[in-house]
Amino acid sequence: MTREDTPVIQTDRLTKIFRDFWMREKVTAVCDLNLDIGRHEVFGLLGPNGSGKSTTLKMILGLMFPTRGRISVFDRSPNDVKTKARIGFLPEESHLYPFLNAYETLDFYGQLFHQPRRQRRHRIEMLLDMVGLSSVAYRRIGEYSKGMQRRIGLAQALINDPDLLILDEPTSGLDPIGTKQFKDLIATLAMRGKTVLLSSHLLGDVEDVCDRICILYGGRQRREGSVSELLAHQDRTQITTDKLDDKTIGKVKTLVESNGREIIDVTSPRDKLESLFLDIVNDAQSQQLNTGGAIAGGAVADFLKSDDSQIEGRQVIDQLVSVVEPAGQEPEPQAPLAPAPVETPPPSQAILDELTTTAPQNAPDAPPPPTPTPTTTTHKPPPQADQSVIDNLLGQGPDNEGSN
Amino acid sequence: MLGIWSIAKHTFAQCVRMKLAAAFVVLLAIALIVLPSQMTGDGTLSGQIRAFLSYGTGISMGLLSMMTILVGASLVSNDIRTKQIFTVAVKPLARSQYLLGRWIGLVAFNFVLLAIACVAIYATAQYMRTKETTPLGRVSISDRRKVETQIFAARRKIEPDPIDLRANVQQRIAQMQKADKYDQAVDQYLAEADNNRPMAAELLRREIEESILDQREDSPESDIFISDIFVARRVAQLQESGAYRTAVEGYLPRTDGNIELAEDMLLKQLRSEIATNRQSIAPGKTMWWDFSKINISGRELRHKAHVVTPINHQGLIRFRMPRSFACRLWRGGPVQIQGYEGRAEAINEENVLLHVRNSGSAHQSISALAAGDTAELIIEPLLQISYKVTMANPDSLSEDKFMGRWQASDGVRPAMGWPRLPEATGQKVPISMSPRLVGDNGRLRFAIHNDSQTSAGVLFRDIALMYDVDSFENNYLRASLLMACQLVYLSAVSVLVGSFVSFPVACMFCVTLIPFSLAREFLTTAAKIPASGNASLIIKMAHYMYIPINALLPDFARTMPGDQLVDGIDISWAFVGETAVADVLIRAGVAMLLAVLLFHRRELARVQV
Repeated sequence: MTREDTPVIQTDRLTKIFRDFWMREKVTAVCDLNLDIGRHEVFGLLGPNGSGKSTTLKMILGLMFPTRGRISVFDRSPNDVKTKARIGFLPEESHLYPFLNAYETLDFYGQLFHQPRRQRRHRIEMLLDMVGLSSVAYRRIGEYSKGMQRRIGLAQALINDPDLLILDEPTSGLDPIGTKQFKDLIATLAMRGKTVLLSSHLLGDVEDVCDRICILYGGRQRREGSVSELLAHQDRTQITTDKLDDKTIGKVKTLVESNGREIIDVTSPRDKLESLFLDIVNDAQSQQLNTGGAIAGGAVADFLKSDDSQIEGRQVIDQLVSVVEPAGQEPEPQAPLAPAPVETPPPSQAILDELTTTAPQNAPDAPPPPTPTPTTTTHKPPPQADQSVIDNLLGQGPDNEGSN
Repeated sequence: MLGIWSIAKHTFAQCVRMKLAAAFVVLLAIALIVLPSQMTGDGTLSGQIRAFLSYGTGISMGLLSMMTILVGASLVSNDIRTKQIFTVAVKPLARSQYLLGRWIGLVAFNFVLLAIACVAIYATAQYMRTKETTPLGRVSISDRRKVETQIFAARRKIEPDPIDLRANVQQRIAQMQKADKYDQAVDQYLAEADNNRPMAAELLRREIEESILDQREDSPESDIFISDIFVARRVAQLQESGAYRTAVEGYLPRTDGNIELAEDMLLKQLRSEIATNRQSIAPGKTMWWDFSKINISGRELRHKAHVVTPINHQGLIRFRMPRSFACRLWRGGPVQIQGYEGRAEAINEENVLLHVRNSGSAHQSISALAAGDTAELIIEPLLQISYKVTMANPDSLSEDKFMGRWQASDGVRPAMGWPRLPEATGQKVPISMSPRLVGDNGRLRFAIHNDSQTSAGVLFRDIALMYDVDSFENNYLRASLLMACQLVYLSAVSVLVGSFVSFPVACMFCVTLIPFSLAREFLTTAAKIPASGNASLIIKMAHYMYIPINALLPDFARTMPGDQLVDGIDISWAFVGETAVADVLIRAGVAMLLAVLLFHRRELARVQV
């Protein structure tokens, strides 16, 4: 993902100090935080409880005022109405009005964005379908489970197709289906060039979806950078293949050791529990078993995953822009769509054979190594393999040359 | 505006979903079903309707006020407490829009409930109006007259003109100067004033004042009118007799030994006594009151009445007409029959005996009317003077009854005779009279002559002239608007307080506000620093603290329309407009402005570290 020059969120020495009744300093929730979140980024705020994540988000949203420092969102104050028109926010808990039903809830929030009735209705139907609550759209929110409330909370955050989505503990209370769907959604939004800022305790979720992260402790910034930079073991290589027998593993071991390296661990990869769970639920749904709760949501709402022009027509877009965008403001240039993930063929048996047999001296006609495919549909670039090792395995490394 | 509208709609829906409307309607229905059967007043139909209107409007306003406070205080504070504000405040909506939307939504909800209450009260009152019997028996014509002319009416109430002493003195001096007698008169006081001419002129002015007041010894006087001359004269008498110090010392226990305060209290007491004395009519004396700015026009009642008995040789003709129309006639009152002058001779249920003045062709023309024919009757609007007499010695049974006569004139044309007054004392008595007695200049002088053996007191505030100016329906509408103004104000204050303190504190504050508003006048007087400037520190502090509170508090006691509705007193559009400007535009506006300023700087999220 490329970062454009103008940051979406910028904080400069952002500090929040809570004081007691006598104005004595009680606790420093956030201290000298400098964030620079660009367009099209998925940015994660990580930290233990009380590290200042939620306080930072609330200051970015204008719900709290900084004690010191400066915040700008889309180059404006967080409290600017024009700024808020481009933001979607999902709080840590879905604080919704219990007397409204799901449809009314989304309709209410849609009205606050001055959306025309027809467009509002269209979006509400798509969002309800997306979060799997179409069948209970007319039940009061007060009767919803926590997870269902989270889903409707997510839907309200997306009603305006925000350019900046701020999520506070987004997967809290969601079942694995919802979590998976949420990750898909983040990926889709990221592909459309939206900016996402999220805070979470669930490191796995953050790792799956974020481009960059910032780790906070005691209100201070400890580490900040891209996920790949922070997590990659630059001194190790991992190769995943089909099941190998002991003999082949022995050959690989010999080969690796002949290059002066060591195989640290050889195991069979395990599925994630999330994958197993999703398989079971998908199976149950294919049998159409009854449930009073949320069903697996549909696909990401069309208006969120592609240009509105494809869905609602240029006329609706024009209306939306003319209503939501402040007068005189240039419309935000549409980010170029990220390239769709390319379906890659499974590793060729020929390559495996090559790996487990004596490598040819030169294989100019050999197919190029397959591009590693991410397990999720995120746009995140896969971990970079150590090219020298691969080259060696393919017999193109300097050592092989030496053996000729 | 769209944001405000969205929040207002949401607030309205929230109020409805909270089942407040349902609870209110149930409570109101119970009240309106119970009240007519339990509130019998004095047993008469008019008493029942008066009690119902008074309690009905009072209970409705009480319920609505409490509901407004509870809901208004909860709207914003609960949004913050439950963090629902997080999802609203981050939407493209200014905080001021959020608050205004909340306020407007609550006001709209109030208006709907108020409309329901007003329609229910009006319908019930109209139903009671048609009742033929009461626990006391069949409704009498006098009771019906009270219902129709004193309750289902909108009468303008005019109080007697206070005597403008200063203008009278100036006029007298101008007359003396015109006749070249002024300097001569001043000269007479030079010796007393030690040859100081300005002082002599001042002595003359005082003498003229006393002369005017003495000439009008038996005229009505209000507190406003009572000149300090009389108080000063009374103080001088006390000082001469040596009783002044004793009188002041009598007040010392109530003023914690503060002599200045005790003197103030004594002066107030003297002023009150003088005012009372000068508003009593001595035996054999007459007291009069002047009323001005009377404008009776266009309020004639027209009705097609059926002839029961054709005109006889005495000029008497009997008609049948609805009781609601018949009761607006009074014996001797003028009425036009087919355009000819006449007067009511007897009114009995639905039959009215009219006397046609014999003016040439009148009898001849009306004699053409046979039994069963209809004729157009025109009744002039009713002019009434209401007064209350209290006897000087009510403990004595023999002197309890008031014997008196009255007279009314415009001061230009010859006055009528001296009809007898009812003997009733201690209660308000209405006297009906022809509006023709009012002069072209809109003035009327009303006099009471005391034929009793003891003095009869008629306080200035207990006498008023009233005449129909509008319909009950229009008056009821204006009364409803006054109630709406109160609710708009309460909505604004409850939203204001709820925007920066928690729900229980906001409720407590707003509930406390109501008795303060009802007792605003009393508190203003209580916290007033005496003209002498002598007041305790507490009173001074209360006075200066109360100035801003007073400015922001409406006077609910003044704008509650219950009393006006019960007495059929017209609530003018000017008063409604003045209340709307003061309570809605200014006071509620200031409250909302404060709310916006405070809420703008408020952090909507709490510390969670």
